[in-house]
Amino acid sequence: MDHEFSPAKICKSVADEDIITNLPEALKDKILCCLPIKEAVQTCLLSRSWRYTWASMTELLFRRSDFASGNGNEKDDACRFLKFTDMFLSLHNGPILKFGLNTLGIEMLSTGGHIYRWMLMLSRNGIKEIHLRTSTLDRYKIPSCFFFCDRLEHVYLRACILTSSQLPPLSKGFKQLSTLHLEHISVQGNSLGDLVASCPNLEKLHLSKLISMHHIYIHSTKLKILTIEGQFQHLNLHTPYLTSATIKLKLQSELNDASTARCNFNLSQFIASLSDVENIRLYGRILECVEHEFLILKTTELFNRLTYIGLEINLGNLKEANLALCLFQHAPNLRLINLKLIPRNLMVPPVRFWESIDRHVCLFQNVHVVCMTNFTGSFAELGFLKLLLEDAPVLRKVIISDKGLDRGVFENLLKMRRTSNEAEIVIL
Amino acid sequence: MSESELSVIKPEALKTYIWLQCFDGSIQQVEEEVAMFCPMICREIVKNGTGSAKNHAIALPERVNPASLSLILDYCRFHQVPGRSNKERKSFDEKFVRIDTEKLCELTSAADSLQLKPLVDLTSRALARIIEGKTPEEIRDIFHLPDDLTEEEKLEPLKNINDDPRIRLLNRLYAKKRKELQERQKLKDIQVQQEHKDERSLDELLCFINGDGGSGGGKGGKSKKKNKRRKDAKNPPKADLEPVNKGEAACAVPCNVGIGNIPRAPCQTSDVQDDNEYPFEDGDLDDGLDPAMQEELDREVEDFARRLNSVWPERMHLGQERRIESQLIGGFNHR
Repeated sequence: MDHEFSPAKICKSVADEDIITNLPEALKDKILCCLPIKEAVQTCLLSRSWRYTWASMTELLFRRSDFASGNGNEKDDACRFLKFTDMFLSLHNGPILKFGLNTLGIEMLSTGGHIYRWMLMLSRNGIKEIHLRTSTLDRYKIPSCFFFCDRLEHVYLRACILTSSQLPPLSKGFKQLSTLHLEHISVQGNSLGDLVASCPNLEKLHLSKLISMHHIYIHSTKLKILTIEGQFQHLNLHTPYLTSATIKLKLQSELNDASTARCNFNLSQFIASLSDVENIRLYGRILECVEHEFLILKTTELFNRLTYIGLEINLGNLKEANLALCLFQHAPNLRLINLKLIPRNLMVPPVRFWESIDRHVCLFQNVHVVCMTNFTGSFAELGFLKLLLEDAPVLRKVIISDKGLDRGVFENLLKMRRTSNEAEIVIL
Repeated sequence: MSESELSVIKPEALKTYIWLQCFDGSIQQVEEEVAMFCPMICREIVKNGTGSAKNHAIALPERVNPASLSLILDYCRFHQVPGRSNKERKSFDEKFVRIDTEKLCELTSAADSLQLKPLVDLTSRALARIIEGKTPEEIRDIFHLPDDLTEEEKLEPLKNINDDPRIRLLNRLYAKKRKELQERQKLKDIQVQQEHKDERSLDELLCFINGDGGSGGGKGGKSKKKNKRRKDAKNPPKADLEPVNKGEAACAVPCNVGIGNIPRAPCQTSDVQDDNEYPFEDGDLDDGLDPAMQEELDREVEDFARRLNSVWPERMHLGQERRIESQLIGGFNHR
């Protein structure tokens, strides 16, 4: 420590006033990292001792928007941006721990080429965090050098393609990676599963706008938070220690008949294995498209920590309703239910499912709030609501959003008996 | 107010105190729970058991002066109280850093030495806000930085920031000219090279990055291409302009030693901000020039060169100085 102060002291006696240059390098770095990158570089004009301070910045964020000249010449701006980034990286000296890129709104001439070059640079400088917000217009293949950034902890990539041939042998993997966020990603083969398998400490996996035509097997005993959203056909999950699970299936086009679209997903097994789960969200067409048997869970195994269930569900469908019921029965501490209703197959004769439920166990013991969107007032929906109101002793609020209910439904709603004194029904 | 709150939570009699000693020898007594908020002090107490008596006071690092210490303790006193809302904390923080810049610097340094990360973050951000959007002169004034750069060193980047419109236009014309020459000579060649751009092997890339891209014979497609381009650019009709172009050639390929120039760190620094002098993608300015337009372009370039003539001698002079200077700095840089 002493050697750090002696020059500072000398400096002080010479020029008593310089109040920022004598700060430790780490602090100057911190201050520079708080500045827009162009201004950080401009500190080279301050004085001799600041000439190269910028060149060892550890956290870099390159934003396309910082290079908007305002003269409307997009191409020029983009060129300047790319050149600045290239120059900066080629002159940079020392470790880069965090690298952010935001080029939303421009088309780079060859994203892959630039990112390839930059990633190579980063992989040699101990990068820990990568955030690349690139435009979805130019997809790129994840550069192979990315897989050699073995100190990565957080990754956010967008509009990229992941193929299995790129993956390095498992032993090399990302030992320290804890968060992986991939958006607009096309996956070939089971590369995603292999990637997850090569991250022994991955806790948070977020896949949105995923496109995959192949089998995805994600097996991890470390994963805590999992979000999968997009188009996929085969999904096999074994992640027993999740606290939060969100799965949303999209169909290629909404016009596609869901009855023909099938998704091969081990839903029952997956849910049954979740011992620590706190939130479960199943949205999109997942319940509809998944071939699942009636969910049967052992009565002794309860999801004691489960407090939130969100479902996109057709309450009139026996299979879906049964799955929901099964979840409710096994979640004694459930507090919040969010249902996005999809009233389909109205032609099918109504099933008195929710009326026929065995009532000696209180189903909604701790439920506080229930949201129901797209409420149509169908037989099954009213049946569920009736059960809920009669069976939830601490219910405070039922929020219903609808697309125009008729008078008869309102009358029905008002007539329902409520067990909880505080229960109010809010219609949006 | 925080004092009274504290005494509600914990009666005065039950409070324990910790003794802290600044580098100047002054000793003060602080509530343990407040002092424990600083990781460095906390460690001293837990690990070494110091601070429990006046003659066993915890010696604080040199960077913590009494004034900063009292500010830090204010900060800890506020934030160690549980149950404050984020909004409260935020508005406290905002007011807290509204202090004299010099004190802010000292505070940042002191907080850093006590490893009080949230306060370090807060003060660094505040300092960054002070710097943001200001000219170098203003920043120098605020922080009393010595103005010890030569005019030339300052001029290089400034010239580029300010975007001298004449240079800009001239360079655009040159880019067009270069483009047109290229078009004529090796249209096919370039296309092939561009197609191969992203498929360079790792070795070639490493070569490029390690700075010997130009000397790798047929390898290092990119820098090689650049060399070629720059060489083309060196043969314009007007000799007066050559120094500029030479500079350009050296700066545009930062790692290149093949050209035979001295590594020129300060010059490169300046070029980072330069946007127009060395158009990266000259190829895109293509607009299919016909011979008549070519002639017109030539005329324009010459005309510009004439108009700039009054400025050039000075520029050339600066250019030479720059080279000598860069020799010095180049040596320093390659330590």
